[in-house]
Amino acid sequence: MLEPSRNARSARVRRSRVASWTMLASVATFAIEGVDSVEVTVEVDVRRGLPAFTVVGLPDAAVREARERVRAALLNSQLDFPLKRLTANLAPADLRKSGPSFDLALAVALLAASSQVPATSLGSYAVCGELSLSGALRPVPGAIALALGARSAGFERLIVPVENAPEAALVEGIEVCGVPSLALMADLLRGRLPPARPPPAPVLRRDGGGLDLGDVRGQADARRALEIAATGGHHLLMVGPPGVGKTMLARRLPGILPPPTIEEALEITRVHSVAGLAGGRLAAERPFRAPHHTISPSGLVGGGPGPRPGEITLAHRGVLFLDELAEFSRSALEALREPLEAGSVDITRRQRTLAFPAAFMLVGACNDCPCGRPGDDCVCSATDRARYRRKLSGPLLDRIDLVCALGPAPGGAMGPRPRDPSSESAAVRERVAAAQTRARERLEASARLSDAATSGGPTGGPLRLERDARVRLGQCRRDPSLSARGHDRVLRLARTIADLAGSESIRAAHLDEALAYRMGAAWRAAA
Amino acid sequence: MKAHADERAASPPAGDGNEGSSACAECLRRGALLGRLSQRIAGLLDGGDRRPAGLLELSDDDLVKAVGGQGASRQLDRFRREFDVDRARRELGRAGLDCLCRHSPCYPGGLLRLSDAPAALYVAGGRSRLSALLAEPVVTIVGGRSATPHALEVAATLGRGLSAAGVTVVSGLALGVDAAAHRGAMKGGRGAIAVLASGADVPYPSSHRTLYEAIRARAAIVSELPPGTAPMRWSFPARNRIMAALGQLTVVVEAQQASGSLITADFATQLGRDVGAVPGRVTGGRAAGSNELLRDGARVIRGPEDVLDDLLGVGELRARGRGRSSAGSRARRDEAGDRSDDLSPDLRRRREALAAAVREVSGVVELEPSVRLVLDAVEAGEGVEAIGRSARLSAGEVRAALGRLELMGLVTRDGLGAYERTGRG
Repeated sequence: MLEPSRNARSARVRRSRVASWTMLASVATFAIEGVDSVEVTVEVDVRRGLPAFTVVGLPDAAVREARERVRAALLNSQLDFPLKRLTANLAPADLRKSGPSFDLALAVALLAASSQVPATSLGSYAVCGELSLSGALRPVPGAIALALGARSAGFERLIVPVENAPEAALVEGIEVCGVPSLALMADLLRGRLPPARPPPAPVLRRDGGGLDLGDVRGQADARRALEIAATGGHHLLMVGPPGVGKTMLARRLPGILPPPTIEEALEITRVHSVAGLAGGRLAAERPFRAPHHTISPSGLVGGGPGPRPGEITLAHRGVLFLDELAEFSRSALEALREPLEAGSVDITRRQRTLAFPAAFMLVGACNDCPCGRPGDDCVCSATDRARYRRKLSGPLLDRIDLVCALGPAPGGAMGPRPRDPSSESAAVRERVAAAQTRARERLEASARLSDAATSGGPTGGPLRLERDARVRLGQCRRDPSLSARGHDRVLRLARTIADLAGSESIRAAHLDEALAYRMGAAWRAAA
Repeated sequence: MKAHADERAASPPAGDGNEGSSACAECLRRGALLGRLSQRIAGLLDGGDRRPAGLLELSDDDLVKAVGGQGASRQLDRFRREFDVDRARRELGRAGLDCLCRHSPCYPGGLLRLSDAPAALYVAGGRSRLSALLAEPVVTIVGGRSATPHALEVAATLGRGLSAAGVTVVSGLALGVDAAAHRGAMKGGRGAIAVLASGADVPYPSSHRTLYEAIRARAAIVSELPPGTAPMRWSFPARNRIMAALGQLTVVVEAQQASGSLITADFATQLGRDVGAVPGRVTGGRAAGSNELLRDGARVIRGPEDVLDDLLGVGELRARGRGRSSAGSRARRDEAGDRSDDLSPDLRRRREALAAAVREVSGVVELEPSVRLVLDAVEAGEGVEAIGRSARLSAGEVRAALGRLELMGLVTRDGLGAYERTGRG
């Protein structure tokens, strides 16, 4: 894609004709920006003069300290640190550089500029890594993002610390070399070492964390809601007194979701690797994030001077579980509104806007009132309850399709009991996957056919309604508590329920169920 | 009951057309004095059950002495000097209020039974409207502020049904049961009288401003405190005595052990009025106070029909005994129609209006067996989770039935998990 520029790169390193003691070399590296990476060129100029090492190009403290690491690493690797006037520039000079991942590129550029390695081979390489004083390479976060950036910038090879290599190698179309130390890096550049192909990244074993839906006793209503939510990707709110199993159920949701596709797994791993959570492996499980309710808005949606991905991005393609939903700060909850709809979030800091992916399923859990005691034991005043509900009311709740109620488990439920195989995670997962397949086939079929009985609906495809469902829909329209968005959401939900039931068209019973799972009008009125 | 009917006969006919404040200067001054002393009374009464026992019976002089402390008579003198009847009347006009004094022919007869009857009764919404409302049978509905969904539903059903049957509902605009009863009564067509513990032009609680405006526009709001007075802790029990005195029957929907509703019931008993209570759950504390009233002999109120019976008397029908399923209540109404010869024309008319109101909101529907099962379970007070177990239906089937029932208006939801049977069908 970028053939001409690659040729230009090989000519970049050159000896000055004017002063033979002046050498200039440049090496490409990549810096993490959000969940992507941008190319940064490290230029090193070696010139006769008082010994000094200056780094320019908006470096932060960690980058400035790279001077000491590079010096010690070179000397400890039996390489030469020239006692000359060294100037390093990180281009583009207006981008703030932070972190130690420029160490290796600085060292390599210095080696090339002081003629310790041939400069000619550098053009097709991108180099990332942190140095330790001993000359060993330390892993850096975001290897997948670095490899994706290098690939799209047209590099043939990416050199990373050996620990990062399996993860970076998940990206196809670029040759990844894992290097353990600076000395071996120099050997590689001198052509004395064949580039080692890293082992394929291990795929995480799928075990759902040992959590099975069959462990949960009772709560049929909540299980049903979980199954529907998993099938259609609907947001879900569980309401019930403390200790009835809300958290237990939520933690079992990833286990009933079908495993991510390869593309989704790459997206998940990329995000997690930028945040330093990937552990060098490809995610085979959808993420499950459960931030504490004291989290700040930036912590939830992303931010900071970096900006760094927030919990909603870490939950991308997975589940964001907000326990005690009503205890989250109002600003944090309100910040969720746009990402819930758009599936991504734009964060602007220091005149830069970064897009973070955030296609997650929201699962909330809360009590019915602040005191959390069931029914008649509740000691809350009407004002307390109204205030509690107001916190959750409005646009946020309008985006939550399913609200399920959990009650105390039936008496004697705690003892050992035969498990119902149809409620185990594996069985539910199969039903969910089958329904999703049906939905996909239905959409594909409707794209080919123009069916007279269908009408364009909010589910992105045509919507087929049985006669009784049409009548029911007419009744719903008369209900003033159902907004236009609510109306569309009910139809979507009914479509998912019909898919679970294996029904080609939406029946009245599906609509009824969808209506009953949506937020009660009374709750909204009371708020 | 008898005595009260006489009092009603003594009250003047509706719409005397004589709007504007005709209250005598003495009573207006007494009203203004109460407003002036409101804070001091509060200081005197804080602690205990805060009932202004005996205090409001006192003459102006004694009242000032009782609450005034040092320099009381000097204050009274100054107040007498400064009080200007014309200015007070102008202020009333500005606030859009009427004032009825206890010498006025429009003054509600029921209040005269009180030994400490308010000298001045401030009315928002017009005195003729108040007279018209009080010309019908009056029932006072009170209950707790933090009410269960069940209680709210019952209060709304009572308010709506009674209002449709031409009975005037009195309540206190408080959170919870009071507001539900008011809202029901407004839906029923006749509106309701709200008795406030603040000035009649001060919506309290402020979150009920919309409800206040609706009542003021279509019915009446009364208070014994002059315009602009903020509510004090003592003025709530004082207000309760007015509510108890206005109604021929006081119904407590749901009250905790220390609820202000019990004060209202207490006043009603002292005045010789009937007290009824809606049975509540005996396991929780929410209905402990109202259940205790029942234990002490209050009338059992299961719905608007019971209130009608208690207000207007129908010995025969009650003697026959009746069921309490929704089908049973329909049968009961049919029975009432068949045996209409036994009823007074007035009661028959009201029963028919009530039945028509119920028919209007329900419509007769045939329910599938599974939906009927779920409806019965909701009636029994079960949660969504328990319904599935008792009806032996899958969670999806339960939700589908609930969605259908909610759409038909047979069940309603408070909050998220709790379904409640409505008074319809």
